[in-house]
Amino acid sequence: MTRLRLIAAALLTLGLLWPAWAGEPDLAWQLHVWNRLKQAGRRAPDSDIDAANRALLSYLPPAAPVGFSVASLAGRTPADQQHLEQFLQYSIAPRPLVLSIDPDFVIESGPPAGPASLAHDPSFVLVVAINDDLRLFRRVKR
Amino acid sequence: MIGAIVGLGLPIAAALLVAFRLDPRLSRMPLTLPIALGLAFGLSSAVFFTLMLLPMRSRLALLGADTAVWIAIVAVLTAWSIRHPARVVSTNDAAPARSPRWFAAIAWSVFVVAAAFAVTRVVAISAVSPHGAWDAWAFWNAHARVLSLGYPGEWRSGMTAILHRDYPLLTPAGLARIWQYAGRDTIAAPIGLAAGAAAGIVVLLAASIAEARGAARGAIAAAALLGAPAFAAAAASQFADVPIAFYFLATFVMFERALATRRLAWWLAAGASAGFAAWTKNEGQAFLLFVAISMTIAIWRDRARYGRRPLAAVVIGALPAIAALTLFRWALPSPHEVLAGLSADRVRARLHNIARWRAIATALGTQIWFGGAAIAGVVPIMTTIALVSGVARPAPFVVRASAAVLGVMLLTYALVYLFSPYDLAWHLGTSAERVIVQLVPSTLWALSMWSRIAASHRTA
Repeated sequence: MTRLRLIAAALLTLGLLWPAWAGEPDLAWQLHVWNRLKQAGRRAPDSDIDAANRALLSYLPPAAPVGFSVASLAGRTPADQQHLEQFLQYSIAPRPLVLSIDPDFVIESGPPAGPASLAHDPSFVLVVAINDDLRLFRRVKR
Repeated sequence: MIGAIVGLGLPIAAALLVAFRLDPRLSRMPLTLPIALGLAFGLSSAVFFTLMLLPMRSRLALLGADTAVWIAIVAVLTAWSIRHPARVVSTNDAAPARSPRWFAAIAWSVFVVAAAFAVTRVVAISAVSPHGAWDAWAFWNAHARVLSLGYPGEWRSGMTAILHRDYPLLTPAGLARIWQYAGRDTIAAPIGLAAGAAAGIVVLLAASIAEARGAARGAIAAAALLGAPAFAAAAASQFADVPIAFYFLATFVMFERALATRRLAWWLAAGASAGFAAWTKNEGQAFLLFVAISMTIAIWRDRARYGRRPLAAVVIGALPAIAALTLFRWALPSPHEVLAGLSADRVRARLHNIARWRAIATALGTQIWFGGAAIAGVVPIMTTIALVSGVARPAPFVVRASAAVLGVMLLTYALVYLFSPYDLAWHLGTSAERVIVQLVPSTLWALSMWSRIAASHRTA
């Protein structure tokens, strides 16, 4: 290889740092979030959500489908709703999660005062409330 | 703890034996060890899923059967190594020209900076999102949880509730196996698998190019990959696109070694790697077909030299993955997302939809050009480096073959988008970057192998 070609190749090699630098804003953001989590002594948000969801497992049958209901869609986008539902499915695997209140056990998301909350339905009884947004109901009569 | 040692230790022992079979020199370990570990993980996944289909009633029985299979594999490999000691094969490859010191210093400096940047990014993303990005937890890791936590009772019914149940199970079954041995579904396993696959790609790319084109070239190729923002993001996101990228690259590397050394072991391993690509994602099934055609052409055009045995070795190598895939399709049948519901009318209409073609070409072209970067990504920069440095004319057969396979793969992705039942903007927006990541390591490898080298003699 001639010297000129080699110099050109070396300059272009240095140019490989340019695309690498394009990831800097994302890296800065991730490091910022990580530092904030460490300062607050908290786990990653997904780990918190997964742990909360999995707290339901001890109340659920091992195999039967589990229902899912939303007490209120207020303040949530369809993407938020899809994320919530699919992450819940990930957490309670291998139990199938179905968007229905027909199963004997139904997980409800959203404020308990919401108009569609199963808290107002006499055919369901509250089994456990994991937090303000997540509750498990059991059907009491058919 | 004992379970983890047995579960990981036996496949690692098998991988070490395979690595020494491929090339007994310790100096070649950076090339052979990532390949052998990748093949061992693929085989562990295929064997574990196959055993799950047997009528066993407990987790203990499943792990006992799995351990027995791996003890048998290690025993056979050990006996084979004793009876047929591995040897160094002389080849007519040209030895790489040594780069000037200042050039090598620049290459290694760029590599170190890019590596530090990429590693920090993967660690930071993994700390903030340890369950991976949406695709990882919504189906890859969710499938793994169903297989692991649902065994022996509910995993079949559980699989029906998870998205994309037609996706093959290399990563889910491999993770489920690790979790079963560990006794819990620790999140360290998918993080480790994703990071390990990414590291394996970088080491394999660098080692293969270093051997063929010199250490500085290997450092540049690895730096380019580490400098691709989309690659580091995909690795940290735990996408299966990174393991499949590993099997794509490993297949091409072994294809090159098989042609250079004429050793059946390389053909066997290349077939296994292509097979495991098919067991990783649906795109891998197209890859298996195209790379098998290119290997058949390579063997046929030089049949007097090779005979038919290499082709048989490729087929035998791919068999475990093909068997697992066939059993998966039989045990958990589900329609293909794109092909199901595809009518002749829709095919005709879509083929003539110029706006759709243009949107697909723009999206894929954008990803190839930028790859997550602002002005130009690593593929155009590496192409320019290859052209500026000087390229071999004609290009080596393996470079032409890999370019053809990668080109046909790109066309296959375009056709999938063309016939996709989903909203095109959504489908492209959520997956175009990832599918290009699958091809980037092999593209960088082919570009680096295309560069000219000085002629002398070496062994391999």
